[in-house]
Amino acid sequence: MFGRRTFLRSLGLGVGASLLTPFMKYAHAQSCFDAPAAPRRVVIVMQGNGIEGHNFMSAAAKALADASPDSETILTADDLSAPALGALAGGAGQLDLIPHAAALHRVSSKIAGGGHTSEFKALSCSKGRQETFDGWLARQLHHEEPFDALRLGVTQSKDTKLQYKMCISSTGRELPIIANPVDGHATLFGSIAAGAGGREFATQRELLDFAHGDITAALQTFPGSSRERAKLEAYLAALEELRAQQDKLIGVSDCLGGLATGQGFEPGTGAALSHDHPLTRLGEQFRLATTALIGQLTNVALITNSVGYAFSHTRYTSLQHIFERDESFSGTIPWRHGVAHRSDASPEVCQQVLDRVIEFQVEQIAKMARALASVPEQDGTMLDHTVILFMSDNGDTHHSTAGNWPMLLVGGGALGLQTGGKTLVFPQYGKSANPRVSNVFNTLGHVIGAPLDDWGGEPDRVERGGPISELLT
Amino acid sequence: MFDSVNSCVIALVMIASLLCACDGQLDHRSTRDEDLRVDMRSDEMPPPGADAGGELDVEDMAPSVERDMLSSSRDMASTPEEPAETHPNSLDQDALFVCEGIPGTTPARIRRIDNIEYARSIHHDNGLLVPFLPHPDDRYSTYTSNETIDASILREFLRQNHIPGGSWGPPNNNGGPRLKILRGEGSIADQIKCFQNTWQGVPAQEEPTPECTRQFVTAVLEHGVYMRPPNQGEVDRLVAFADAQVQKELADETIDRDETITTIMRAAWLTRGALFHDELGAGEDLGDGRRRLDDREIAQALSLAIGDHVAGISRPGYINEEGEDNRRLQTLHEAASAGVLDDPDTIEAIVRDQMAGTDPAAADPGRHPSSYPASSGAYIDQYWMSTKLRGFFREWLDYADAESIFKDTPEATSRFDDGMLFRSNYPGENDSTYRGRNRQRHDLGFRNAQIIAHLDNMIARIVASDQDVLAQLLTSRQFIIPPAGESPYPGALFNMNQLETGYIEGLPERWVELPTTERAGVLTHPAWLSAHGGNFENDPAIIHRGKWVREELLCGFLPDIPLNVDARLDPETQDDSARDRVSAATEGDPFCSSCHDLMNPLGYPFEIYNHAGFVRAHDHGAAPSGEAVLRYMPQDTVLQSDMRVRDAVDMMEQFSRSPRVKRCFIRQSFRYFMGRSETMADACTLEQMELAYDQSGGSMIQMLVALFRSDTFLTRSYATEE
Repeated sequence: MFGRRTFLRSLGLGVGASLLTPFMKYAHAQSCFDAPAAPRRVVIVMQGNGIEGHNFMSAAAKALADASPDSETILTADDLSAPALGALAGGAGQLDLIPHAAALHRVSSKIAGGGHTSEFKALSCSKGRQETFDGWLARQLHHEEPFDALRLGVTQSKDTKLQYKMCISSTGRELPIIANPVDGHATLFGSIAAGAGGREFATQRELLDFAHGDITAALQTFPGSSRERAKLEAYLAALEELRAQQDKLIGVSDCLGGLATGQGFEPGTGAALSHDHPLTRLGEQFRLATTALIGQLTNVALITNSVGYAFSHTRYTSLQHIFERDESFSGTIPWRHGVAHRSDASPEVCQQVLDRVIEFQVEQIAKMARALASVPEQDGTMLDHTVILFMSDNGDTHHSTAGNWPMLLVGGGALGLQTGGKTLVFPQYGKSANPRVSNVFNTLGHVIGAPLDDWGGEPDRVERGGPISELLT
Repeated sequence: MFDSVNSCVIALVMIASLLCACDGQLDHRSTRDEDLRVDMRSDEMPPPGADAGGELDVEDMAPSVERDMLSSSRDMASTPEEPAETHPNSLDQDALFVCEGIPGTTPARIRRIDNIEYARSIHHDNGLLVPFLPHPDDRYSTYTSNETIDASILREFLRQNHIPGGSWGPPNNNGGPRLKILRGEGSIADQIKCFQNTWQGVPAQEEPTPECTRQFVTAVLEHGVYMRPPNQGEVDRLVAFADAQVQKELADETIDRDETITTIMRAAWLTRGALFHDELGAGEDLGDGRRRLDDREIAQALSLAIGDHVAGISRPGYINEEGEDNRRLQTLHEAASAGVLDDPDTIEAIVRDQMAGTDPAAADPGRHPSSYPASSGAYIDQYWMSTKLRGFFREWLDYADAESIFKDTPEATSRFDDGMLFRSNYPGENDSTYRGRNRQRHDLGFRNAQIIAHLDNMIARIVASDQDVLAQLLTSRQFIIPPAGESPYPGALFNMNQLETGYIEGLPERWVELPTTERAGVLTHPAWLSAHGGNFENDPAIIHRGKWVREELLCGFLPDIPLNVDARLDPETQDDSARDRVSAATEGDPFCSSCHDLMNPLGYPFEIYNHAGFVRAHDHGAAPSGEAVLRYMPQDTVLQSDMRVRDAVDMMEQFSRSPRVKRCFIRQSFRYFMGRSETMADACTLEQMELAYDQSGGSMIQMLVALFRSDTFLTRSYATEE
């Protein structure tokens, strides 16, 4: 097995420049932890309040769909030239990602609900507060990495630290999304931060040790029942878990420093990442997630853009130039809700704004994919061992009925994910062959080597369970 | 033990499940009748736990009385630890109120602090970022059974508990509010100033003496964190930590004493004593498997039943005026110190003084625990109630999220549904500004409507008068409307056009009596209606509202939604009325109607309101109708099966006289204020609560006093584990 760390060490042992040249693009890439023997990663990118289908719908696929609206079978077009997907195309020395991507249409998730947002149900595919798919992935794919999953996102305010209501653990707890890149940066690079940041990391270690001593002493004399005792034991386990995570990060300090610098981050502080524009901050979260994957700090990333009810009051301030195309633009960027209703600017401008938001994220996905593709891994690249899924938290429209969740898949070729630059239009909801979002998750389960046939709480998951075979090689 | 209605429900669902199974539709991995059989085993006990023994360091025990308890608990006969987790609504309500002489008690427990208590304790109003949130499986946030600290909680807490140090830093600190207990001659400040910076910004003692450090640490733990004297082990550990931090400070010129103190405070707030309160029964051993709480435990439990912090935390501020309390709930704190909390009259006096009132002086911020800044929502005009009493109503009625549930076209189907609502309230605007302002307000949804605070107000007025409280809650027409400048819906939400009535700005004019045909009590308030409404006026609010009434007002039992149900209304019917949509989707199929008959009829009466609580003027081409025949109703002197109601107003008037509803209200109160669900063993306490309520003319305070004076509240049972 020729792992990435082995490869990078070999570079440091004097491999000649002739060998280095073809790999200069990823020479800065550093893996701080050994990838497992069978590397598998999943990135879920989630847009709040809908991804409209035309963003991912190629002309050829649309023609097929229009010709057979009631098709009982899957319509497949070898065409991924949809409006929002331009960044996937190659050229100018860039890797062509089209062969590594596929678009899906008419995947339904009635159980999640739709509406303005399905919140955590988008990822749990259940009615109750069951585990969300990111949590399940984290449990499957966590090995020696310091983070079982990274959840990074943005909301309107750059001061928002955490966002809840989207992710649920297997124990029913809400898992927070780190809602600004400054805190994302501190999460990844706090252990190597200089000055106050570094001191804070050291202080946290001391605090964990102190608390561990206190709880251990308390448990020695605790007179309560086993049920009450378990509360303290759970706290003790949490202290130990965080301490172990910090140990891991400290153990690779030099590597983390190189990783941060190589990816263009100041290791000392993330203050430079505190941009005013939500989409700009989102771009930074993509960069952080990419860095974490390349550094083998995690195998699971969730990147969210104003998901949940945070969608409503998001202002796309970086898109002012588009709003200015409306002659009546007052100078105040409207909230997304008014844009999604096509009411707070001309309908044409609103549409352009909504489309640009999706296009921007595809661009970020393309950057991430190309960065991963530039890092060799086993017989291929990191991209071949990483699946990127772009989806929304409610379906295809502002007021979604959850019958169509347009999706984009990128990467995962070495894992058995079949993409090939296709656009798949499934039979619509109500047809027997209509797949659910849970089937997509089942497919990803198969792809990461943990066959999953009954994700979520689908009422007929036995009959409709399993993966989508057309997406598996 | 099940009452007849609940048994009927169970039977119906079981039949329905079987029907479904015959159709081959049921997920064979889990059947509802199997689930129900599990639910019905009310006599189950949890498996015995592991031995909690091990080597003991008796000098390290916290608090010291635990030593006695530990030895005592080993000698006791085995007693049940906790009843099985049967849904309390499946218990026979009539039997729950018949005392058969079983002495009340509650299993010994520890209680993790919540985010609000933490915020109050460190004098920081914004507790929302601290992730000590209630467990989602718990009915009320006060429940203790599932609360602990896992890695995801701890990770965020570590990041955010930076605030405490400031208040305990030097007099010229800038990291936290000034604390009254640290002001003035002879105060605790004298005990700790040797450790602090001086006014000149340098440490009073560069390397504090061991006595100084111990004195500081002891004061911090007793008066800043635990509100009880710390034990030896607690002090020793924090002293060692503090010494290490001072050494770091001496070795690093970028660290000053303020930062050192902050770090010590952060450590203190990570300890068991800070994060978990004891309700273990440190008082008298009653010899029957129960121990009384000692005075400190009573003070703590009582203060957390009244407010959102333990008794004795310092008030913030500079000046200690003559006669002014330095601490919050100082009377309770002093009573605990004096050891007089075993006197029931003392408990009653404190509860009466602290729970609710109309005295503006008592409600003055800084004087009363219920009177935090207006941003906390606790200060309520001239009527006030304690934060926990407010919390009970918000959680029982479940209206705290009313302003965040998005409403498309809030005025839809009301008489203001003409696209002109906002312009009519702002007649100076012209068409060119109309769209932007309209949309801006539209997008605001209910965030600025203040409807939550206004329902708080309405309830506070009722509980402050404390007579016939439940009937008043369900039938009062006294509503407070927002002033024009406060809300995008000044009067329209209450069906008042202020262009007709004129703007109503001040108090008491904003207290209005609404028409008897339109509103009756809290369940007809826009906050409740909105909280239990959807995004659109014809969303299935009928089901949500009806389910709430069945479970929370009638204490009826509803099984979870079956796995094989796709609970969605047909999108093709989105132009129809909610009544038609829900009826078509749920009442034609016996499988669906077996459960929906328990919910829908109780939701239909609210169809005279839309999803946001506006009074409907029309309903998809027909006159609004709240008529319903209430099926499978429990029986009492008022409630009858298949009883007919005209609308929600009529239904509330009838329910307000129902003994069944009254007992359900008592049960809900018990759950919230005890922090657990009731069991059959609580019958004597529930009976006493009802007696107190009845004999006092419907005083909720008297009902709660009966609870707080009961053995259920004041004693703890504990078990020996093998």
